[in-house]
Amino acid sequence: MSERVRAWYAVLIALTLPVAAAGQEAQALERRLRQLEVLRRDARVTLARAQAAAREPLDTVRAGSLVVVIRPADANFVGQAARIAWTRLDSLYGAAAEDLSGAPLLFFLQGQPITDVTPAVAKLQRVMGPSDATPTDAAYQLVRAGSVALRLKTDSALATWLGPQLLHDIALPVMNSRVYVELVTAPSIAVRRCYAGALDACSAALGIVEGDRIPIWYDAPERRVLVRQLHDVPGSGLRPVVNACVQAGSDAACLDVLRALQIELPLSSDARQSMARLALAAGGRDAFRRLSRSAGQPLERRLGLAGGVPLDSLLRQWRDQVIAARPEPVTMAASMGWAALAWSLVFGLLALRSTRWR
Amino acid sequence: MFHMILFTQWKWSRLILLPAVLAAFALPLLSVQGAGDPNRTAWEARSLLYAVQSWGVGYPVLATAIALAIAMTAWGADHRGRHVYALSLPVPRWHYALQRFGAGVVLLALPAFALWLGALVAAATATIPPGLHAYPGAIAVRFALALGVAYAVFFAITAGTTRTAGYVLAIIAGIIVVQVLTASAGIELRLIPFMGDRLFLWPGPLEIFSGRWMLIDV
Repeated sequence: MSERVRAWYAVLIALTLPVAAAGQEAQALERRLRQLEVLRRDARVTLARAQAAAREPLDTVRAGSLVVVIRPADANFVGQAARIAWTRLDSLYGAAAEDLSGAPLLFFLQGQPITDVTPAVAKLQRVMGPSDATPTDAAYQLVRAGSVALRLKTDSALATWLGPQLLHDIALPVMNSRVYVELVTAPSIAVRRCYAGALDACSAALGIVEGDRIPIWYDAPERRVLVRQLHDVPGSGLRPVVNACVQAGSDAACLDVLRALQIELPLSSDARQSMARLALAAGGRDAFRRLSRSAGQPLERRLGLAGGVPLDSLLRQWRDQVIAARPEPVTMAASMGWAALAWSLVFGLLALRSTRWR
Repeated sequence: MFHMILFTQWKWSRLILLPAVLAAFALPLLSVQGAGDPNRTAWEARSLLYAVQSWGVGYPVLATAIALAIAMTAWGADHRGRHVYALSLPVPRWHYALQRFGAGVVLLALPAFALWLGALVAAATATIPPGLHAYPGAIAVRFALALGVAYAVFFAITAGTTRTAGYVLAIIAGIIVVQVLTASAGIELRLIPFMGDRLFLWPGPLEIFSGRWMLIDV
């Protein structure tokens, strides 16, 4: 080999050495990265196992479509509660209650919160029962939570009309007797006309009809008294209109004030829920589903759809039930009278048998 | 003899009975004084019920006060005279006590009757909105029965010895003390609510006093 060729080899080797060395370094790095990845994966698994071991074990109880995540120790107790709650939810909401299967509840007792849970469990709706709760108490809470979950699936128009949660803790006749008191005491021409038998007025008083309802709810003198009774009129812009209503007796001004303030319906949510419960009872198991799925339609049509009968028929039934539920006057009951007489006699006899002269 | 006892009790208690009769007559009238206010026409039914309910507290209070006064008056002279008069009579003790009791009941009929009259006048004069009804008879009967129960209780207590009254007070105080002690020891013993329920719920002796007293109701 000539000197020249040898020199070329030397140059070539000198040029390729750094490249080879660099290639060896990249491989080593890749190997090390793989090792690191394995180590990291092992560490993650170990951490997950450690967290799982430290995390409280949970159990699930089911009653119908009601799913409740609980501590295993509470399984029997909550199981009983869930069965009671499901019966109540199913009897009120019918087939719509089956939607609860997609919204499990996380139940715990007061003072013993379940905190160390997976993110999936942490997202569940939490239900807290009293620390000394009976199954009935826990069922009470579960029914409320289930009702909230179902309410979230309804549109805002229906939810607003229904008011608070639709429950049937209060027996319908008891609720209707409260509504009866409203029918005879509410300061509204629509309510008084409803009491007298006008179904269109019942519909208006229940807030079922749409449009400008204030002239239907209250007549001119009622509107003026209503405005006079408003203590805090928001916005100084309304003050001259209020004065025009109250002092000058302008009915147009009264209407403007009441429209601007969006006053409450003349009948309470008890009355509306009583109507809703009647429609659900008349419409069968799918009634609530029809009611909640008819979003966007007028309320009078939705209630008719839910009940499976024309709205007039529902209104007539509702009014008849309310009138029939007139509460007994509380002034006196026969049993009270007899008990009082008997006790008077008992205490009188005690006085006759006094020891004073013995 | 009953006439004499009634007459003496009337003499002793007439100064108590006069304001009692007036109060009993006035109470129903006061409870409906806001009815018919032209400024509150639309709100009349509701405000009338509130007013009647608010004044309703007065009926059991008045019944208790009248009964207590009459019961104490019935035995007052005997206590002051150390029962010498009663012991000098040729009648057994129970017979004498029965006459005293009966005389008190007859006197209590006056405020009961006054309340009935007042309730009738109130019901007739008040403008009662449609859907509401007046119950003057029922409230008068209830008032009379409350008078009777309260009178019997107080009559029995005042007829007894001081020791008996002491026992009654000691039992009441004992219940309160036990309730306070158990509560402070963290023991959940609902003694007072339990006793309250037994007394004020049917068929308890004081049930007639509980609940709403409504001259006008739905």
